[in-house]
Amino acid sequence: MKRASVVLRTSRSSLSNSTRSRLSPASHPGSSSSGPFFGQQTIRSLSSSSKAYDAAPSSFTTINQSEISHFSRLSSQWWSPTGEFKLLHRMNPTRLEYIRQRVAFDERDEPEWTYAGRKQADTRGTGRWLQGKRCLDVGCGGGLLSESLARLGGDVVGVDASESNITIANLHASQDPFLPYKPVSSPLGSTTSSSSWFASTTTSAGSSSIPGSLEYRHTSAEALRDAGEKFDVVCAMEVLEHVDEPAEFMRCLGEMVKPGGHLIISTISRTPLARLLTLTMAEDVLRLVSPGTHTYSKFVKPSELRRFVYSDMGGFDTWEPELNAADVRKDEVGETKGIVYDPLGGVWRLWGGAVGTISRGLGEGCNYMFGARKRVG
Amino acid sequence: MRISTRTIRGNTTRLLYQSCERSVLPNTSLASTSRSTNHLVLTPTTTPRSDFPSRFSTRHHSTSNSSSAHEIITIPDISTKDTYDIIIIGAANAGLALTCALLDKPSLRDTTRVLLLDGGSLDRVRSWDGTGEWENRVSSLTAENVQWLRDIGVWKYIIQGRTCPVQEMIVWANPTPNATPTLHFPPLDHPMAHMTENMNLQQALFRRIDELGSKTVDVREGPAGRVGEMRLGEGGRWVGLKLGGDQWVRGSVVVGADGPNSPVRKFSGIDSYAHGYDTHALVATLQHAPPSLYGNHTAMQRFLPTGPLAFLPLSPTASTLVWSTRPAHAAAYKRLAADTLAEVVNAGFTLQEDTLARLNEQILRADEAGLPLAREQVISMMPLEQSTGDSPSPPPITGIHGPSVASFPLRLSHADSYLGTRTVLVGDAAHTVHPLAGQGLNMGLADVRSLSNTWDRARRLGGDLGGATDLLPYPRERWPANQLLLSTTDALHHVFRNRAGPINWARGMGLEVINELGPIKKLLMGGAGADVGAGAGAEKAAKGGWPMAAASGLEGWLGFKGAVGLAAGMAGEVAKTGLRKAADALERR
Repeated sequence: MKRASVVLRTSRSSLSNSTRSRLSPASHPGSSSSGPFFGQQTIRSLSSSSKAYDAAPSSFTTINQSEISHFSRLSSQWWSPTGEFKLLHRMNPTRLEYIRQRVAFDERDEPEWTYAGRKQADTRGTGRWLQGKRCLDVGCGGGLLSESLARLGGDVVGVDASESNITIANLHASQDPFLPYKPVSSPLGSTTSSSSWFASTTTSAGSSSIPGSLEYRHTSAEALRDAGEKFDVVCAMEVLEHVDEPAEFMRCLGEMVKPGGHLIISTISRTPLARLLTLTMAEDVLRLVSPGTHTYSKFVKPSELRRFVYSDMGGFDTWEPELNAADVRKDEVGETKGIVYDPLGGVWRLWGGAVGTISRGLGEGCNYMFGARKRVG
Repeated sequence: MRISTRTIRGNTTRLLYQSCERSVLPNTSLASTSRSTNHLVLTPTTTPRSDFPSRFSTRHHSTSNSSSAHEIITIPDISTKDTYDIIIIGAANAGLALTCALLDKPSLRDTTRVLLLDGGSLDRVRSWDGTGEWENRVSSLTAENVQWLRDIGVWKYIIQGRTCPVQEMIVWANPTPNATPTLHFPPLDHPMAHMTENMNLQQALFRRIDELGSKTVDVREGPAGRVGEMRLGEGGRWVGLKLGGDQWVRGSVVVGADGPNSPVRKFSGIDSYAHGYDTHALVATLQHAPPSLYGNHTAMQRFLPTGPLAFLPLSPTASTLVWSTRPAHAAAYKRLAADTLAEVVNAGFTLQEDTLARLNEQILRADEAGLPLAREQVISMMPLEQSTGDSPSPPPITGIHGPSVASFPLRLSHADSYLGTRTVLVGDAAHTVHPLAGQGLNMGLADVRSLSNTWDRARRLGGDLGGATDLLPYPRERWPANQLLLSTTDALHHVFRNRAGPINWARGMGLEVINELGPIKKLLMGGAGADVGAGAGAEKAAKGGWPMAAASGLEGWLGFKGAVGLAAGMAGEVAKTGLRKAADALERR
C-alpha cells in the first residue's frame, strides 16, 4: 500500500529464479524490460524521473510513476481511521508487536542471569523500548508507523517518494504535541512552497522534553544509503510489492542496517490465497482498498525473500542465524511470520507455526512479516 | 494528605461545570485573550451527531487577527507543564480507580502524565478514616473486582472494619400468599462480594495514588479543577480544557468519568439510550441484632410489586437498605420518623403483598394529610399473622439512623458509543443501571480495567492514546458486556414489578426455573461476582463482539450466536419445566 522509490546503481543480475518478480512493461514507460526484471536493468534518464530527484546523487531511478500517482490520489485519506487505509490502521499495532518481539525480546540482548537479579521484573518491551535506537521507515506514507516508532522513543526518519505523502505526514506530526517532531526540510534542499507553511504553525510546546525524534524526508532509500546513513531498525512496510526492483531495494535496505541492527519487512506473498484476498476480495468485491493498489506479479513469497537474503545479501556472514527458528535452514536467512486479519475480532494477528504445516502455509499465504538481524562482527 | 506537588485546593462548594452548549458561543473568549495565537482552532458546532469533519468547522488561523477574527476562538499557547497525556474529569469511583489502574501499568507509570480534575473539594475523601457513622452510599464489590483491587495494591488501604463480606444471597418474591419462589446462592469457599462504602473505596484509591503518583499524577480540585470550556485542538490531535482562572490545559485524550449527566458525553456528541423507571431508590442504614452466631453475611432481596427491597449487610448489627419503590412512596417514607420507618421496613420484608399495599395506602393518605403515621399506628395495622412461615426474612430492624435516609431516582441509560473524538466515557457517564443487581460500580470498575489494559497495550506498541483505532478494543470489550447486564437487569425489573396474571405465574415460576437452571444461575452469579472463573469467561466471550455501530459485518456473529443459544436454552428449559408441572398436576388428579 505504500511505495518507495528505488534507485538503481548496480547491474547485478545473478538472481535465482525464485526471487524473480515480473514487471508489466505497459505500466512503466521508462522500462524496456520484458523478461525477469531482477536480471534486467530498468534505466531511466534523469529527465524522465520525478523533479525532486534532480539533485539525487544516484544516476538511475526505477520509481514507478503509476504507483506514485495512485498513492498521491489517496494521500489525503491517510489519517482517516475508517477510510481507504482502515485495514492499515488496524495492522499497525500488530506490525509493532512483531517489531517489538524482534527488537526488544532478542535472546542475544538478554542480560546475564544472576542470582541476585532472579526476582526482578522483566521490563523488556515496556515503556519506551526504542529509546536510543535510530529507526528508518521507508515508504512512510502518512506516517502511521513512523509516529508509533517515535512515540516509543526512537529517533525516527521517515522517507517517502511522494511529496504529497510527506506533506501529509509533516502536517499530521506537527499538530501533535505528544510527538518529538522535528520540522526538517528535505536533504535535497527542496523545501517546496506547499510544505513550508506548516513550519510556522508547528506547536513547539512539549516536543523538547519528549525522548526520541521524528523527521520526514522527501527522498529515496538509495539517497540515504549514498549519504552513508545507518540505522538500528530499518522498516519497509508494505513497500516491497510496490517497487520496481525488489532486489536492489532489499540490498539497499540491508546496507543501511547497523551491525546488530534489525531489518523488518512486511509484504504480500504470491499465492492464490493472496490473489483471492488482496485482489479479488479487498479490491474488487469489498472495495476496502482501491482497485489497482496491488499487482499480483510483484508479490514475493516468504521463502524467496529468505533465500534472497542468503544468496544475495551476504548470507550468514552478514546476518545472524535465527535462534528460535522451528527448523534449521542452511540456505535461508531471517524469520517470516504470517499476519492475518481476523474479521471477528477486527484485528490483525501474527500467525506462525512450523514450516511445512498447513498452519504456516495459510498464515504466510497472504500478508507476512520478515525480520533479520545483522551480525555485530 | 498531600496528593501531589501541584494539588490546588478550592472552596468546598461543588460547582458543576458548564456543558459545551455554552462553550460553542464564538464571541466570548477572543476579546479577553490577547496572547499570541499561532493555532488552528476547531470549534464544535452545535450539531450534535455527525461525522468528525463536519462536526468541527475549520478556521485556518493567520498570524494577524484580522476581520474574520470574530469567528476564531483562540486557545493561547499551552506550555509543556500543562500538557498531559490523559485528563480524567471526575474524581469519584471511576476516575480514581482509572488513575490507580494506570499507575499499576509499568508502561504507563513512567511515560504518561495524568491530570485528575474535579470541580468539588476532595478534602472529605482525603480525611475519611472510617470512624463516623455509616455512609448511605454503599456498593457491592464483586469477588472479581476485589481481587483486581488487591492486584493493583488498593485493597490494603481499604479500612477492613468498614467492609463486610457477603457469603450468601437470598432472593425471593411472594406473588401469592402460598408461594414463595426463592433463589438461593449458597456460600462458596470465598465471599461472593464485599459491601463497601463508596467513601471507603475512594479514600483507599486516593492513598494508593498518593503512594505511587507523585511524579505522574496531578490533581486539581475545587474551582481550579472546574472545566469551563472544551475545545478540540488543531488537526484534532488534542483537546484543550479551560479551567477555573482562565488557565488552559490540554490532553491527548479526555476521560469522562463525570457521572450520569456527563458534560464530556455532551461535548462528544454521543447520544445515549435512556429511560426512567418511575422509581426512586430509598437508602438508609438499618440497625438490628446480630442475625446469627456467625455474624451478618447474608444479602437479601425481596421483589415487591413496587420494586425490589434489599437488605445488605455492613456489620453484625448494621445493614444498609435499598428500597426501590414508586416516587410517591419513597417521598412519604422519607417523611416518616426514623423509628416508624424501621417498622415499615420490617413490614416490607414480612407482610403479604396485599396487606403491604393497604399499609402503603394508609401511609400515603396520612402523608398527604400532613400527619405522617407514628410507629404505634404502623404496628397496629400489622396483622398478627404476618407472613407465610417458610418465607425468608432478615432480622427484625430495631432502628434507623435518621440522617442516612435519602432517595434518588433510578434510570437506565447506555451511551451509543464510548468513544468520541479524543474522548472516552467510563462508568456512570457511559451507563447507569437499576441497583437491583448491585452492578453499577462493578461495571464501572470493569470499564476501568479494560481501558487501562487497552492503553497499556497501545503504549507498548507506540499507539496514540486518543486515537480511534488504538482505543477500539475498549468499547469492543465493554459495550456488549454492559449491554447484556443492562438489558438483563431491565428485564428483571419489569418482570418482577408486573402483577398481571400470566406474568405473575411466569415470574413465580421464573425464579424457580432460574434456581434450577444451571446456565442462567451461573450467569447471574458470574455477574454478581460469585464465580471469578465464570466472570472472566463471560468477558472473554464478550470479546467476540456484539452488534454495535463500530463493529462491521461478520464481527457481531459470535455474540449473536451466543444470544441465540442462550435464548434457545431458556425456551427449552421453560418448556421442559412447564411439561413437568403439567405431568405433576395430572398425577395429582
